Amino acid sequence: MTAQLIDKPSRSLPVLPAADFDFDKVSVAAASNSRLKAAVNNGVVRQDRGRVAKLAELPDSDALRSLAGDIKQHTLDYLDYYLVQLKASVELRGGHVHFAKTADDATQLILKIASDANVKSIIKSKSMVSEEIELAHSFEKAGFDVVETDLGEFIVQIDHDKPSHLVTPIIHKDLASIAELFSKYFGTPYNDDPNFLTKQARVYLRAKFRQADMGMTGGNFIVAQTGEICVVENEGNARQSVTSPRVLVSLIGIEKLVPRLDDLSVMLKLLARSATGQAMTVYTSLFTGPRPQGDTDGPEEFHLVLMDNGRSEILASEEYRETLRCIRCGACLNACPIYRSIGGHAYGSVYPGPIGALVTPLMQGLAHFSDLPKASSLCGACYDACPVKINIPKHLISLRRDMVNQNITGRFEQGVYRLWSRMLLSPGLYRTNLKLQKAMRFIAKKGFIRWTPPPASGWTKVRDIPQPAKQTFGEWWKKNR
Amino acid sequence: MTDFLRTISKSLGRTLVPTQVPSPPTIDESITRLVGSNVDLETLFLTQATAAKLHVERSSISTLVDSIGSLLISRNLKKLVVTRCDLFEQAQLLQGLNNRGLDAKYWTDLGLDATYDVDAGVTDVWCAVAETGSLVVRASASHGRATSLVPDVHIAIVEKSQIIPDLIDLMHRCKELGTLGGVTIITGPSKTADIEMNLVIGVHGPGEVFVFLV
Repeated sequence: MTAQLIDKPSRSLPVLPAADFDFDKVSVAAASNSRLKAAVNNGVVRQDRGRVAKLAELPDSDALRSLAGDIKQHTLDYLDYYLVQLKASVELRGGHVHFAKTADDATQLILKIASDANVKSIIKSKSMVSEEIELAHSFEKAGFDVVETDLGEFIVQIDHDKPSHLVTPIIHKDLASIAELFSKYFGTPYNDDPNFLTKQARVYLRAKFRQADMGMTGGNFIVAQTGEICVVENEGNARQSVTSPRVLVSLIGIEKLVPRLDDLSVMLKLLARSATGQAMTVYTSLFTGPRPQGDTDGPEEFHLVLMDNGRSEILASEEYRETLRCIRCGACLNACPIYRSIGGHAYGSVYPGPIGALVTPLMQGLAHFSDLPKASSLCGACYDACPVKINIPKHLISLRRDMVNQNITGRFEQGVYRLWSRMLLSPGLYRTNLKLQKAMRFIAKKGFIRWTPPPASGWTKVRDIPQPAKQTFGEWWKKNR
Repeated sequence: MTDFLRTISKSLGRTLVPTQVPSPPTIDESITRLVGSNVDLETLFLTQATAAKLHVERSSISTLVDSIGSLLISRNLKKLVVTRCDLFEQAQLLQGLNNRGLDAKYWTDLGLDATYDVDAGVTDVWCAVAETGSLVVRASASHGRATSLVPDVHIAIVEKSQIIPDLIDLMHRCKELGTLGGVTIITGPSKTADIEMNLVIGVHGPGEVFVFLV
């Protein structure tokens, strides 16, 4: 490693276009990408097994998940009260609290905080909400020197890529592609030793930590009663954000509140176990306000930016409100057979996987993301894995219902399903249908029907149907009972 | 009341922010608590901290300088930042280390920027949690945030009486304190598994954490 690495300026990043989203196209391409599939599966299956093993250490993990869900639900049901309480407690400690209605409000607010404080360089730790509003790009455009400091997010930044998982952002990348990227970016010979690559990033980022004017974090939880922000991590970069820069900004979604410090003991026992199969992450930081008088490190100025950006609309629906309980652990992604097949990018949103298929249409409009509620086999693995018991499959079905009610589902498709339900209600039609299905055996190849004539072709373009059996269950039953 | 809050209240079906709300759900300790005070906290802390890849060693106040000194010398770690506390004064740690040819300075004399150039941070802790084998540090004028974060090696001294059973007890202690300052729960060396799930130790925080239990 050479000294000039440290001085290499971070490149400016182009602003990525809004996702041009065609789920059918993207998911089919992703599912047939074996390198992607291997990388994703290698990671998530291990994390999923870790979750199951670590939850088993708890005296009654099911009851604890219910309690965690109840705590978050209570907070959401009285969110206006707790937001007022939180604002008062942070201000009591000398912090500033800002409310941002939209992504744009949040961006403008934070840019203003930075320019008012005469900030030049910014170190940013990983946060999903800043991904949601693409904050790093806005900093770049406004001329700030901003660097993502979580190793995964740093790799995303220098590769002009997007994260594909809530917890492990570069789960879609394999070692070789990261080694190639580092070799190009730092101008060093190719080396695919993960220790070397990590060390290289460490040296580069350490210089940034030392000089940064402003640190940015998200927050896993915020305690309304006392104003603490709780951030969990394994690397130590979020701690750097709250240690060396003179200005600290925490951008957090309004759904992250919990009422009391005591609630953290419940949440912390579930979060890391569910996310990565750890009992605790390496660092759990609690902080608020500027540094107390006499301290010589920590921020001199602290801003908490609480963002709505569509959340209050979810809050307004008693049915969907519980989706805001989400603590972004990623357990539903790791457990999901669809996510395992297609990875995170295919969802076309910063929030991928089952929870993403649910909150993305709710936050950004069902009409724009009408494919996502269908990106599920409704097997229920996500619900079983969820540490705050969000009934994801139930809500995905409700979204499909909403699509029919709002005529987002085409009239033709609605007509087909009306006929389908009539067929299922009539024994005669049902038997005729079974005969038709059996006849379809002959267009199957290698055990699957991969093509059907129009109008069914739209359906088989993205799905294979298993070849129907020679004998129906009814026929078998008649012979064998 | 700002527009922002009015929108939230409206979403929840009311026009005003309530001045009182029902109590949040009671935290049932029979399902939340993993460790009671009936267990041997010292042994449990040792087991859990070791599992979390902290290097734990039993020591005593009288032999502390020797233990830390020989560790540092054997690893060729010379420049040190040390937190200021009664325990270290009592053990005459700073003088002891400097007498062994090391370059130890109190945080209050060194400051943040110079801490980026030291080899190891030597700190006491606010408390330790047996359940998870965690160290808990709390920032103050004499306990810089950087001391347990910035140097490559962190050496922490835990007094047996500082070990508390469960995270539940930690949150109680935080609550009693009122003003927390910055509190960090440390459970292992800094690590990442971002690159194809390969575990790499030592990213942005210390890659090695040594604990002396006195």
